Amino acid sequence: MMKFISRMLIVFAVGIMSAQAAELMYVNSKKAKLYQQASFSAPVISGLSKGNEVEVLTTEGKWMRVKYAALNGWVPRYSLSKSKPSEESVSFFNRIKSFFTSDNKRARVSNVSTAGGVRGLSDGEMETSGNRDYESVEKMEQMTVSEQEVETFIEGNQN
Amino acid sequence: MNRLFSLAAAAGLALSTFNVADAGRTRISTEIAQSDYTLKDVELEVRFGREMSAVILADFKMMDQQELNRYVNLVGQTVLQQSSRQDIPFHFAVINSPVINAYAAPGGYIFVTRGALNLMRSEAELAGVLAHEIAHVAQRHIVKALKIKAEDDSALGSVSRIIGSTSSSANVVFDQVVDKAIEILFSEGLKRQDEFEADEIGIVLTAMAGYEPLAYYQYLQRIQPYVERPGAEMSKTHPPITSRLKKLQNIIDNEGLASLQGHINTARFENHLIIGE
Repeated sequence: MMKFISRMLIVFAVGIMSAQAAELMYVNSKKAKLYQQASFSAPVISGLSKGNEVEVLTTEGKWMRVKYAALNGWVPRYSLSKSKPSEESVSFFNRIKSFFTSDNKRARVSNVSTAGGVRGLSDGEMETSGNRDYESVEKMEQMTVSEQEVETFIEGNQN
Repeated sequence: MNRLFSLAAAAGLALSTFNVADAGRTRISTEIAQSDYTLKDVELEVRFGREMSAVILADFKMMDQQELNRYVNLVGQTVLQQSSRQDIPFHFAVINSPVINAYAAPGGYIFVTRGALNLMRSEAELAGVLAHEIAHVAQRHIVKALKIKAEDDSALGSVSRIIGSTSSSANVVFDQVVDKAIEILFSEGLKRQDEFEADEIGIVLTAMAGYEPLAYYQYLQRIQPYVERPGAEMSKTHPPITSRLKKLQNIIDNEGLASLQGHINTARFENHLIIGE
């Protein structure tokens, strides 16, 4: 009986270890690569893209050995996250933008009581200003480049 | 009035805990566990970053060169493809400052100065600098330092619940925390460990994006005499270049980055870099 219980405990423990080893993670970067070894100079087995699910087998420093579909390889841990990438970001960002283009913006500007600004008269010098330039922020946000433009730009790498 | 006092007290509490490390989380787990942050947290982060950016752009005007800003955006987006922080849009701009530095506000707002660009020699160096800043945002260094979280008992959390109103007291608290963040960027600096981490992640992102990772190392070597002179902003806000180079060298050796031979793109960089004084 004791032998049976011991065996069951071992099976249970192995089961837990397997479950831990089978941790699922997701590619959270737009693009990633599956390398043959844990090195950036190793051959690339496959490309990965955002949202791909991988099974983590082992971790070694900045690398994770993963199973992706029928392939085993290494991925930099920076490319992975425990949570599945959200699809909600665009809609909520639009909500945030409207915050500063609504009456809130005018109210904030008129009520602001701020302690410091960042006038760079020379290195390290600061000047109190309290100014905000929301128009320039909006201009900065409008300088968008499309995914296609980025791809074309990458294809234009010269050396 | 009572509400104003309680908000001010809450702000004082927040301001007094800037340098307290969040002991509940390890560095590795925060790198990969984005689930610690809700959409409301991220929304507050972006609002906060926009406000910081409005302060920065009021004092340092954006360079009025559309093609240059577009080019910096293209390089930034190329590096960003490799980052695990994909839940927010990132924006990049060149600001008209002679100071040699680059800045990252929470929420994906990244600035590089005219002074920094003037000392760069290639697109790979620019990519390295932008990757360092992307890493600051991805690792939420300012967010953690100031505990910018929507759904907790922090001062900013309280403010976030009433920020939709036109409450002037809420605005004061919000602005005090924004001012503290500006101080971190321009005079106090982040924790040294955060800068080392941004260097480490940055050089890896640069390599993953196909750029020559050694270019960033060479850029830091080149700016060393300028940024370590007495009074230089970066000498106050960043660890000494020598210690950063030493840590980068370890990463280069351990990850085999020296043999990658990534893209340098000197000609394309020079074609876009026509910066007036």
